[in-house]
Amino acid sequence: MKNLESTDYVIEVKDVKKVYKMGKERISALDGISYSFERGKIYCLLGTSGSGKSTLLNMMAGLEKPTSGSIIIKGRHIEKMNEDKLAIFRQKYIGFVFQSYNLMPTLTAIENVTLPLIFQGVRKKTRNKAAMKMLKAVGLEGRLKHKPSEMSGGQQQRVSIARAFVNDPEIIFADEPTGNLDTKTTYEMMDLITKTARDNGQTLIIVTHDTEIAPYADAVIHIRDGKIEKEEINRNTATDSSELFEENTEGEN
Amino acid sequence: MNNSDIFSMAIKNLFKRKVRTFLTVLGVMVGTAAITIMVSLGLAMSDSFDEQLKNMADITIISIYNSDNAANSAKNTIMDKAAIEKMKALEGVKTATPIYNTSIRFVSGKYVADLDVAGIDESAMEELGYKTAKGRLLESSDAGTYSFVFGANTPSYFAKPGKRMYYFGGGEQKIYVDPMEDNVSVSVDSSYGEKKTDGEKKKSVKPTKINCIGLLEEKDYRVDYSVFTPLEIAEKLDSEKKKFEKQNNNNSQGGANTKKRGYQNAYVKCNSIDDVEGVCEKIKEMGFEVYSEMDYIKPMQEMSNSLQMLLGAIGAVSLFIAAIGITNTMIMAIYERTKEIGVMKVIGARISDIKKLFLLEATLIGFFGGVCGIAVSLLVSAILNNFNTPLSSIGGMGGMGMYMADEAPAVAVSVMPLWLCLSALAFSSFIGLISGYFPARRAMKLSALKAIKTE
Repeated sequence: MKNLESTDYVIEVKDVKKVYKMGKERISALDGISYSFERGKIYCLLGTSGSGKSTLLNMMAGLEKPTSGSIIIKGRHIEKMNEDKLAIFRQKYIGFVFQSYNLMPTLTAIENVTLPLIFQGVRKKTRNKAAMKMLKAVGLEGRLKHKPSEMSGGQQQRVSIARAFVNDPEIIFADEPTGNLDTKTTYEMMDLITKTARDNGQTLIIVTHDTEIAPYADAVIHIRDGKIEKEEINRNTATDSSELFEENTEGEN
Repeated sequence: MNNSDIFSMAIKNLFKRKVRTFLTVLGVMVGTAAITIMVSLGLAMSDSFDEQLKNMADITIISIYNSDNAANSAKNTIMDKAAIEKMKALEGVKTATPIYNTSIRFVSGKYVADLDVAGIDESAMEELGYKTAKGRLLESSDAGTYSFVFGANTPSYFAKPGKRMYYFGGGEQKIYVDPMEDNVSVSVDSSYGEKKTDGEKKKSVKPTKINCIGLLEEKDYRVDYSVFTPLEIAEKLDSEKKKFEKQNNNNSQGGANTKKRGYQNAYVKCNSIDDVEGVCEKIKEMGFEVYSEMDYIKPMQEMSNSLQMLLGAIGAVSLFIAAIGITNTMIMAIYERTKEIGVMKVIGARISDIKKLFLLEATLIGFFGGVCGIAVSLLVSAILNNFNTPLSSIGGMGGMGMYMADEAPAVAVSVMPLWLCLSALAFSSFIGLISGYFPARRAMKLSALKAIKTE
């Protein structure tokens, strides 16, 4: 934690609170969270269901507005932006990976990957080239014309990762990216996503309840009852699942 | 997002739900076809009216008669200059002129013709809408001179004395006299040029030479068979004729005409067709009898209007239902695609893109419906025209039946001009756009977060 002052923060969360009204009851989902995310690092928001970790992610992505507090991404208050500005902001700076992949069922793999570029108004030739390159990088060059229904869960998540990275965003949000995958695919996916983010110097924020994912992150933020419980700094982050497996086997022995 | 991308995405979405799109398009098709056919029938009707009107007198000219009715004669109904001025002052009246009708024998060389002479206010001719084929119309400076303007069909009446009087058309008509070129005179003797029967002690009079200044274009029956001259000349010729007849003990006619002072007839020209009815009413109130072609046209128009209203109502109802169909289809689509819309928003689609996409899909349904509707209309139009029973004659419209019998074959039942097809297409697309507005707003307002969580 040296040189804190000169550190380049890409996202700053300042005393964010979120209160839901359910009938007469008021439920506090986030209770004064403040945290600063450094550029190019990988973070893991770890917590149980209902801890408020997804709410925090949604707010940083501009999908929900905080009840109070502010979220500053690249120096801009995103809680004050209107929907169209947010859309343009997301086009430029943010990539998304979802738990349930959320691919367009009627579009082919390559069409799904080009979608963010279509919204940006990128020309057809350029965007197809970029999508092709991205799909190759996730190892799906043989499945360009397949529809989601013709692919396995792992393959669909690869398409979804390709889609998140295709416009080279500065920030990637991954909401339970491995929640629907088996252990082996989980590691494959984590290898892929963290490697890509590190190669491009992107900030990756993963929301998960799976502690096995934690070793991939530079910092693990434990969230409980809408508060940051503790922060773990990981000095020897895993870059490859093989290391993890070794650690695991050692532990068992 | 580029417009071309929105377009191809909208097309893709529509083809994805083929059956539903097809059924919705079908609804629009029926509505568009109903309205288009309605308009095409209406157009054909007004075309056939126009055709008929060509054979009728100018509708904006009202003929006025001095009523001989006993009830009216009690009133002060003398059609004098003051009465004409009063008519001129009526709202919607362009001009009014007295008409002095008489029949005079015209002479040109060895040919003669008995023609209807209409004495007219010289200055009114132009405003009445008369046009010359040759020469010019009467003008104010012609007042009191023997200037004559011939109706289009009058020259054909010249014939050798006693030879021929009437001509009903059919075959080539030989015209012996061109009043514009040949010398023409008028004679107060209505049997001038004919051989005197034995024992007739008629004094012969020298015909008066006239100045033929114009030949009119063919227009209508009121014009084609008359010769126009300044009022005083018509009056003068008439009185000279009567005097001559009196002298020759031929007193059987003419008495009745002098019973009343003032003119017998008048023409009133209205500014537009819409003024005709009102002017007619007012002149009737003044105590004169009026005749206008409107008396025939009105029931015809009412008939065709009510027919068009009926067809229009059917068309409007079916198009309204089609519009509801589009809205319904689009709302269904939004329910189905809620998650898609959410994902699109999260990965950077602007709400305006989403709105455009849904509006375009709805508009395309309207457009395709319009295309099919026009195809159906063209088909129906062709079928109707093959049967060739004009709708206006089905209505059995009084006096028009007569005209129809002669003129019908040339008139189509249904007319589909290009502008009708194009505007039907534009209209159906517009209906689609309107119908898509509400669903599009709904899609726009969907919360991305909630949408993405729906399964």
